[in-house]
Amino acid sequence: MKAISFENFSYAYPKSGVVLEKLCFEVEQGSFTAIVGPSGAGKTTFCLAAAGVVPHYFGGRTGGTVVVQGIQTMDSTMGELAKDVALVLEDYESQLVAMTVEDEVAFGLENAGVDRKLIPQMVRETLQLVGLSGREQCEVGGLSGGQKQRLALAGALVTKPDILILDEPASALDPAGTEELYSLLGKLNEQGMTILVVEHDIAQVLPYIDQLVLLMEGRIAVAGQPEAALRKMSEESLFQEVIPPLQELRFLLEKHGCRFGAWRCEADAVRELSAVLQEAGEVSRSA
Amino acid sequence: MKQLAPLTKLVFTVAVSIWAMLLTSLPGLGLLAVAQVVTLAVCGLLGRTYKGILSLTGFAVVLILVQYALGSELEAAIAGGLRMIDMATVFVILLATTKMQSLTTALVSQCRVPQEYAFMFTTALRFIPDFLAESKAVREAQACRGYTGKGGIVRRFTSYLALVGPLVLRAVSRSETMALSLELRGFGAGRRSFSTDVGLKFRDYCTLLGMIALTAGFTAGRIVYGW
Amino acid sequence: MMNNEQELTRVTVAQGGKYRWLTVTALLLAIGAILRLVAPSIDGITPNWMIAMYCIAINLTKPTMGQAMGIGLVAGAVEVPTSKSAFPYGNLAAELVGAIVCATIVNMSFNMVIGRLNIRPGVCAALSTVASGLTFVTILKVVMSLPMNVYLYGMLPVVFGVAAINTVITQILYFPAQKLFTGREEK
Repeated sequence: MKAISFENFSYAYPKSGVVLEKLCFEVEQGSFTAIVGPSGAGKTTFCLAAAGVVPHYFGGRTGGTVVVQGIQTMDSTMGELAKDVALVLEDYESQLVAMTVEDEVAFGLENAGVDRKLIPQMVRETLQLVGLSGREQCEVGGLSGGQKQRLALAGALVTKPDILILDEPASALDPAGTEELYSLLGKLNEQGMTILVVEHDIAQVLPYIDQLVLLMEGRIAVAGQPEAALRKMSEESLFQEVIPPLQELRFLLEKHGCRFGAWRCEADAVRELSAVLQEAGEVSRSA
Repeated sequence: MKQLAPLTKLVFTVAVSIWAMLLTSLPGLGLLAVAQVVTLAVCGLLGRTYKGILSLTGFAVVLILVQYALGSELEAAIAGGLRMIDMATVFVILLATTKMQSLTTALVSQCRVPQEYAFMFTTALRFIPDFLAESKAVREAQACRGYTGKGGIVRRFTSYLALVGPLVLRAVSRSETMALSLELRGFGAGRRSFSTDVGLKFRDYCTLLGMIALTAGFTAGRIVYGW
Repeated sequence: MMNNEQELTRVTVAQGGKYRWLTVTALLLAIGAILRLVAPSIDGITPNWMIAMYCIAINLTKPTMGQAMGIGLVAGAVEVPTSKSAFPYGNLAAELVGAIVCATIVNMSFNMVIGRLNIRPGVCAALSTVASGLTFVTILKVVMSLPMNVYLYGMLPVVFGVAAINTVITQILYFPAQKLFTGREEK
């Protein structure tokens, strides 16, 4: 069973043109998918569709199907789907509704009617996971942006969903915070959680993802293994501005006959590039 | 006081207000006020609350003076002021000794207040610091653009609205995300549980009995002896 | 961009918006609470922001009478911890009455327009503020046994002054808010 599968899915908001058009796309169980695309490409709507918010919340017009953990979203409700899918929206501040950190994380559990005796333990574990231990009693309003982001994430994780979807989670974070967030997501993914994230900075997610999707004008322009997807984007000049510079360099060098393994992070790149440079140096010396 | 269940304290709040209405003598009303301040002191909360109490007292004094100046009897004026202090101080006690979350839990689970209103209350309080920060940012931005808040009434009025307008619009657009996230987090979907324990204990029952006895005593005093 | 090859089905019943009245009201009440704290007065008269905000909320969301009563009580309750209320019962009762008056006017079926301008929000604010203010000072008068002349000359003029300023504020703030509120589907 696929975690999420879009079959010929199209959608239009009540007063808009078609925002998503005939999407065919699958997310494997336990995979980590990143979605990129220019603004207005339908990335947020895509996230909403995978959580059943579209079309349930907004209404509108729709065609095709979205199946999440074997359930057709059209035949289900947002509340029902919420047991399997958690969604952290871009405006995470508006998702925080309780006065203290502890209450915020407990909110989802209380709504699900979880036994009171179990709640403190689950709250504690989740806060530890996102690195907010010891802040149980803090007021939500007094947290920094990065802490609020992690709190929103904790609120989503505490009900232990199978699938986690995040819309531009790093948009308000500094580079260190972004790195921290993605290493946390990478860890959750290793533990088996299916993760789907909208992110414009591919270099940040590249070490963790196993699928990259380029969405343009409501259609999937490129989808596949990150390597292959990036190469295709580079070759066809699609949304080139998001391709990490090091990857660009690599594709350029490969045109000149160099061969590289899979680069996932800067360290890989540096190691392989310096090997190539060394080789080149030796070649030139011996010539 | 901190160990009592929130429901007991809610009842206490109402009880003190009833006593304040039942008592008419100056010593009685004064004693009630003193007793409340002592309660705060015993709980070690006077340090945190004395400013509020002082400003209440100041307000009461002004009211008393105004009344007196306008020709009411001094004793009646003072009684009115004391009554106001009695009734307001008990809310200070309630809020200083009770966590908001326990209070709303008690209201929803024991007083049958629909959870929507408890949510509305805590969420409004949760966003106050955020909006304060935003209003400050808006004011600073507008100071840069030359709004000063000075000048004629029309001018000040416009600068006023220029501050509030963006806040209101932000709130409206945020409310969408929030409503959506409420559904995503299963709000109102089924039977809700509460992470805070607000059940009544032995000491709560004792306190409740004590309050009933006092109320009965004051009522009797008022009727029989005309206190 | 519309592609005619695929027939799209219209999803008529949107489940969404079930809690929109709740979230928009909560946030507007928060604004009402902070403005009570920080906003300066205009020539000695401070608008009652809390009333202005729940009038906007009630005009936007058109709640049932029961919900409106809840909104009023919550508005009063929010005032208690945030503005060091000297008279909590007064706040609770006054906002309850104000919200009831506002919801009654919102639910009236006849149009309130001058030319093309819908003046319902302003009317709501005017009458709610008067009703709420009168409730507050009347309760204060009874509880403190204030003499009639304090009530008539000290308090009533303030109530009407605040009502006038609230009317203008609410009327002006309502329309941009409403445009944003109803235009939500047009992404």
